Amino acid sequence: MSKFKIDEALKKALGDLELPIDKSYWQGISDSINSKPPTSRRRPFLWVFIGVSLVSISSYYLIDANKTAQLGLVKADPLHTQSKNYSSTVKEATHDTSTLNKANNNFMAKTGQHNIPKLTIYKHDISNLRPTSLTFGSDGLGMGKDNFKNTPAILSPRISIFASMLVQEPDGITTIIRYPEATYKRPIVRPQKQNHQLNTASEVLVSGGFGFVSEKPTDITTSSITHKDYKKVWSSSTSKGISYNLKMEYYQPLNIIKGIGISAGANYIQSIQQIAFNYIYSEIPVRDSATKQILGYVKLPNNSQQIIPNSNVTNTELTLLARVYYTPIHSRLMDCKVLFGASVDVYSKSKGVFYDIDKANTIEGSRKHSGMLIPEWGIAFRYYLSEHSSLNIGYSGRISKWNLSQYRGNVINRGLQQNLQIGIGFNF
Amino acid sequence: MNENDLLLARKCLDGDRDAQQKLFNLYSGLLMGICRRYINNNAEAGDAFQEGFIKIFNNLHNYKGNATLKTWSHSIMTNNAIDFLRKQRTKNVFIQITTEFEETYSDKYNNEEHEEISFTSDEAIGLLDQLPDQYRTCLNLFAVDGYTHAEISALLGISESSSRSNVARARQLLKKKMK
Repeated sequence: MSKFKIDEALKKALGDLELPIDKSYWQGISDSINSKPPTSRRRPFLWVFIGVSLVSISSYYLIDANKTAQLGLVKADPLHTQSKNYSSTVKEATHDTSTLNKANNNFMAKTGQHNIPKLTIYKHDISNLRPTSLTFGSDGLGMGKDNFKNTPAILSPRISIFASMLVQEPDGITTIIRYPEATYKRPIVRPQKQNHQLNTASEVLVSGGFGFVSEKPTDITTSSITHKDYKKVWSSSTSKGISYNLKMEYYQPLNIIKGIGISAGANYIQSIQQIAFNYIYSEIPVRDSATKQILGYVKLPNNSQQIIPNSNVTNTELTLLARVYYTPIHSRLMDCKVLFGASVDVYSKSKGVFYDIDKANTIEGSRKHSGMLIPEWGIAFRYYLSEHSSLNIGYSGRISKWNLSQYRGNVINRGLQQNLQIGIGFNF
Repeated sequence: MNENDLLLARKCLDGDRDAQQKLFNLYSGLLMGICRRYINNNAEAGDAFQEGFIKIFNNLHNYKGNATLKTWSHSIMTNNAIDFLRKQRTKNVFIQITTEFEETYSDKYNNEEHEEISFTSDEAIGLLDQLPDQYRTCLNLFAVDGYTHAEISALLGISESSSRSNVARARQLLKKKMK
């Protein structure tokens, strides 16, 4: 005990001082302490997720080597419902050929090279078309169980379909892959009152997919198709096969700005397809051997038709990716997530029977492509309609680059792809 | 061994939200009082309180039951309030006062205690608020929380004589304010 009376008076007045506490303090403290990684197990619970994509629209723009932008193919696929996805039957995209031709004609008019189609926009020109999968996948069906309290993002299996696709460009053959994706993420559950804080722990996002590919285009409208109508040549082929992928992504929140984090990972995808060519042609291009430019066309004496069923093509690709995620809005009503990133194809190989566009014939062999840096971006909104349902809107874009030196000299082309998806998710 | 406190701590560690809220309800008023004694600003005291309580929860695995949870939390919150002051103030809060003059000065005021003194808690807080940080901290530690000058010296990184001087000067200033 102090010998000073002032000390005693202070001790008496303040020793057991208790002050009233605003409720908001507990809210903040509870949010903070319960956002940490789980330290104990809790009773597992089962959940089921069903999602329907109401609208899915993709647009593609081709940007030439001289940075002249041209409208390319536009694909609209509204009411792309879950049932269609799960039958693994892919509806062929609708191609606006009139727009395509108009764009091409405009370009040719500008360059004054009417007799040489220096740059023609075909579907196979658009390589590596893979919509960026944001975490708010709006379509899918699955079930799983949570073993951990406040599961950050791992160990919650969920199968969903993002309508992802891959277009390879193995010297002519264009392969479209759509595959379901099993994603290990937490289910869409409206956050509880005491638990709507942002995750501040690092996460490992693991996803894998297995799917069937099936394409049966039927838009042959003419019996005389040349190299210039290659799209129709391509679309007269059919393919079926399987694809699978495995992706790992490590996410690390940054403390610089609330809601911002970086991630790095790798994606491996392989498809094995049987492709049946069924094309008709009447002309073949003649090229300058040095520049690979098309000088003109040689008409064949008779139209020919060639059908090669059951040609096997294997596409393999390993991609490294780096992303920055930002979550500006995270509440009980809605979430918003923004993504910027880039991926690099460190290994890409196509092996099988390909179509030789110059000889208008098939060739057998393997092709490798790698080293393409592809920027990607996206924004997604998830609005909670109820405790177990949400409306999801996602936009993503990416710029692909590819080299068409085989056909047109050493020309690097770039393509802009954008994807908009609106869907509803249910979680039980 | 404080079995009940230990049990409550373990429940909190297991993520039992009811237990977490119980711990908060038990000691929040007291711990807020500590913050307010050391920090002369309501908003800053609230920030320090929130930060300190999170530290308490995050360090519950270190609680072995040797002291009561109240004492253990009290200690963490006191240290946190002092750390908070260090971080918030750009100047050196706990300056060294080691001159002979200061020791003489402190001795002088240490021996001038004759009148009866009594405060309400509001009056006491109001008076403490008017003291410089270093005086208020030392006086709180010494007079209210019962630390010795040696302990204050170790805690604040100042000499014992500085601690004594700070406490003495704080008393003198309080007396002036009371007149």
